[in-house]
Amino acid sequence: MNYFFPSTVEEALGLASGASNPKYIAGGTDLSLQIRDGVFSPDTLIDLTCIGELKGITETGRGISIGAATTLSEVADSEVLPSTLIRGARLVGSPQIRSLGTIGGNICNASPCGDTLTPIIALGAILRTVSPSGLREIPAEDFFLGPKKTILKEREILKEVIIEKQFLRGSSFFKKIGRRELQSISQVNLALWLVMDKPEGVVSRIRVAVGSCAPVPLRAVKTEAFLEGKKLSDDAIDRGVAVLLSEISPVTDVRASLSYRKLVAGTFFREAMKEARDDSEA
Amino acid sequence: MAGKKSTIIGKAQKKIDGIELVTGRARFTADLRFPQMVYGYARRAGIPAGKIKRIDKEHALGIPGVLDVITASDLPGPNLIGILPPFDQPLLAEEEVRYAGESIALVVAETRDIAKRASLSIVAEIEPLEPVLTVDEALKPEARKIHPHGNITFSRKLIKGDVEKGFERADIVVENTYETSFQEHAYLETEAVCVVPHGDGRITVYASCQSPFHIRGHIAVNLNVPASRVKVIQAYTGGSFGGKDDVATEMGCLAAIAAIRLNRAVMIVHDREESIIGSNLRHASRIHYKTGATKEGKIIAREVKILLDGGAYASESPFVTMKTLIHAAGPYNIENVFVESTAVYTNKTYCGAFRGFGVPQVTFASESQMDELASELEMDPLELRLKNALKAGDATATGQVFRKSVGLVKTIQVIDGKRKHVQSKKLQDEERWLYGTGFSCLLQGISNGAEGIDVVGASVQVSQDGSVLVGVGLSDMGQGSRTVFAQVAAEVLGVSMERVTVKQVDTESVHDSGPTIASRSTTVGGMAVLKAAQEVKNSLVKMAALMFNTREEKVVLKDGFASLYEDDSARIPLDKVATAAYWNGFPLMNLAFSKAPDANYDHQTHQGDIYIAYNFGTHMMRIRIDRYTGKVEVLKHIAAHDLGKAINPQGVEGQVEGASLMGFGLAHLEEVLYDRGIIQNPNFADYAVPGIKERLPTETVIIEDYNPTGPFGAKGIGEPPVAGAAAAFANAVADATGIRFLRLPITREVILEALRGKQ
Ligand SMILES: Cc1cc2nc3c(=O)[nH]c(=O)nc-3n(C[C@H](O)[C@H](O)[C@H](O)COP(=O)(O)OP(=O)(O)OC[C@H]3O[C@@H](n4cnc5c(N)ncnc54)[C@H](O)[C@@H]3O)c2cc1C
Repeated sequence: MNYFFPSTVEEALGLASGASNPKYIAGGTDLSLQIRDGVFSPDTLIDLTCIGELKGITETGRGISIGAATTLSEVADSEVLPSTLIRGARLVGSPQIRSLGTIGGNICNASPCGDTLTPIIALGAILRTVSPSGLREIPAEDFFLGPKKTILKEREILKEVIIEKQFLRGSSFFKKIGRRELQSISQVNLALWLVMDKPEGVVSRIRVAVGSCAPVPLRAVKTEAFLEGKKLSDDAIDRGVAVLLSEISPVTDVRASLSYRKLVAGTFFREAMKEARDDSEA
Repeated sequence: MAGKKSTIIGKAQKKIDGIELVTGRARFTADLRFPQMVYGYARRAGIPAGKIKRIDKEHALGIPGVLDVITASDLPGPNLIGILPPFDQPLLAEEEVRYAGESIALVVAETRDIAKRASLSIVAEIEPLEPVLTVDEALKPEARKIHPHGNITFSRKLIKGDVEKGFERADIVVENTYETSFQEHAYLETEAVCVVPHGDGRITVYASCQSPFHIRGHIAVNLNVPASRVKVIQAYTGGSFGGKDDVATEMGCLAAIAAIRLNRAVMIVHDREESIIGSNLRHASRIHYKTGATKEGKIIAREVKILLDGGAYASESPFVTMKTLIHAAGPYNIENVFVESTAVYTNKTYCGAFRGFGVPQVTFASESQMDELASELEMDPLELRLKNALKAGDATATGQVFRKSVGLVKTIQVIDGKRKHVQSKKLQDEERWLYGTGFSCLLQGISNGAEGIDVVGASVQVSQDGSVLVGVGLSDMGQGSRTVFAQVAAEVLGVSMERVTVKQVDTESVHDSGPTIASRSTTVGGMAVLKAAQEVKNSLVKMAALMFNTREEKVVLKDGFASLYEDDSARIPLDKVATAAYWNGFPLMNLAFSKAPDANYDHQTHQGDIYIAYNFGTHMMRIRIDRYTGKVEVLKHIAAHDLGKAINPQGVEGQVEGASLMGFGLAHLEEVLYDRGIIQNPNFADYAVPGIKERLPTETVIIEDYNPTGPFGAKGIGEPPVAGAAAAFANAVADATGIRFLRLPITREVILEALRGKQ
């Protein structure tokens, strides 16, 4: 097996097109296990972690750009990113995993329980990719096609995650539960981003995403539509919960039952909405 | 001799092997390298039951780097392992496959990777049989027999008094059925062995294990060589908890056979998945309890029926069955007891020894019953326990009477004294949090008891420089027994801990002392060290008396000197005494034995004297539950144990905290999930062992009720807290929710669903 450390994206693309069965590797915290278990048997590994343009969190005219090879610990320690994404990154695995694992790897691995996936969907993030045929911009919610399946074409690289200015306003939340406290895989996670119209006390914008319940992280569009323009009374929140539970259809698997997932998703949404309301009143 | 002034016994000591372990200098089996070493990897059956039609090695043998593929027909010996009768387990399945994780072939290759890949390329034709997957199916008369002798591994009854009569007199009877699930040992270091052949027909086996002599015996038989040609060295062992016994013999035999065939060193190291599917688990259980009491709260009858799912092979099921039988009545003085316990074969991973040995399962059920009874009686749970607690002079369930060292009442009183303070503390947000407190009492027999012979041999040797070398045939797998042995020798010989070295266990230099189980190291092993050290001390004292020109009674060994009782300043350094003893021909080495008294025991009714002592304990757990997610926070955990004498209080704390956390895992987190005989979560992503955040806020309370059968009065503590913490957790959840959970683990999910059902 060949292992390369390109220093530019262009070089990485070149190496990939020259190989018959290449794989990009970042932290390797997912991929090395998949190789060990024979899920993938690449002949060439192209390491993305020495490519400067794929690393770091930068503020741009458009908003904030996170290089795909930025580690989860950098995301977790960021002072500029919205809190839902920081919380999501903070709750991935252990310190060792976060020091190696990258946000791009978390996204491209496309596990339904990936903890940065619901935050980027709630934040309306744009995923910028490059391939020999050029650049693409894909809304995060359209990126995931199934467990471990994304819209990326062979040899296409995820370059950066862009969070636009409009989503840097407002408040955002992330909730997760697993079997135990830390180092645990999400049985359910939920991300919420919301802007309140202060004088009116109504929800002006809201985005909700639920993870680990379906083959892909789900954006809860009906719930969002239901709550937009509403005052956040307890009753409205409760009815919002009911809409949410009707639009997600969790599964039962080795990690949790359908009914537990529903109960906790409802709890998380109610909690996050109340915290959002308290925030806006404060 | 131990005296009040001891600076060694009863004082917190650092583990003597602590530094090398935490700095990474200690080399575990998988770290070892030998010239031309090669790797073995087993092919597993992959289905829970079937007839082996054909195993085709040709393709695997053609893979570059593959050196050998061994199947049952290649084995030189009887292809049989097992800790106890009935010895029923093959090294490699021959005709029939009995569990999915069973090894059917071993591939040996230049690298571990090649061996693993090649193992998957073996073509195995196995004709599936309908698997027997539950205890109920296995017990049906028409069930397919997993072994020729049927599906019952072992079944016994304990009969004390007359339960029928007892229940007739009872004012109140509570009755329920409880279940516990399989638990994995989950040691950090997976199983590993390495076998090095020598040119002269001898072999050396390095193993992560807890019973080196078992491995030696099995290798000798399966290789058809004298045991004296097999040397087993216990490498540093990163946890075992009962788990590195059967499987270590399996791996040791296979590696030895491969090493002889190839004349090369062979290493076998398990993946985490193999460690879960291919080595023994804790028995899952279904336990029916019926408890009868007077309206004053005196328990007068207890009837218990226990079914243990033992998986495909016997392993230590017979011992575990007996332990459940003997402990099912709990630490209470009950006139009439009837217990029936049965281990059953199923087509699942075999079950065997696991810290607590059946006691956690019955204690959870028994202590749930105690709380149910207390609530029927409208009595305080601790008061009910106190009222029935065993005291010195009372008869246990087997009718054994201990005149000394029955400290249960003191453990209850300590907890009672502390509970007010703990229970009064509430935190904010009452609406969200449900608070609860759970108690449990337990006992755990120390030593092998009437289940088996209990002999430990220990050697103590003093060199001419006055330093001490101790050798005991029991393994330290992290529990700190080497440190305790060093303390005992240091105390007797009056030297500092730094002057004592404890041998690594190897079968050529220590006496066969049986398996390291049953919380027996400190008690039985420590006693052997004590005796051996005393013999050597006699030589030194004799010599010193000659040198002082005085009588032996006047000489004392302390602080590295022989000195006079009356006058401390008159003293001779121990190296001078030892050297003189050597030149005068006084023996400076001794091999001594500690043997538990022959058990006077009726194996029909299970009445009689069985153990040399019991550890007694009371636990309290204060928790709160998030009613919206089912999340549980343990706010306080107090574990009070009567352990006779804490030789190393720091070691005791380590054991209490670690064992309690394992009990908490059993009660709240851990469950091996099967689907049609295949384990669904053979990894730590989906099998949730406690993490750092789950570390319990444990306060260890040491009660010392002197035990005449242990060194300096000590009794073991390695296993007992598992049962205490698991049972206290279940009772705390019941107290907080008002719902009695009858099955472990009580996970977040189980709690939330039950709360929701109650609404
Ligand atoms: C012990 C442990 C605990 C874990 N806990 C969690 C957890 O709690 N929550 C969670 O969400 N995850 C968890 N994970 C999974 C994993 O750590 C994360 O998914 C991590 O973010 C993956 O990043 P990586 O850089 O290591 O990816 P890699 O393993 O390097 O790559 C993953 C996949 O993405 C592809 N890829 C990577 N970068 C790019 C790119 N820029 N462009 C195109 N393709 C790319 C790779 O080819 C590969 O297919 C855990 C893993 C382990 C081993």
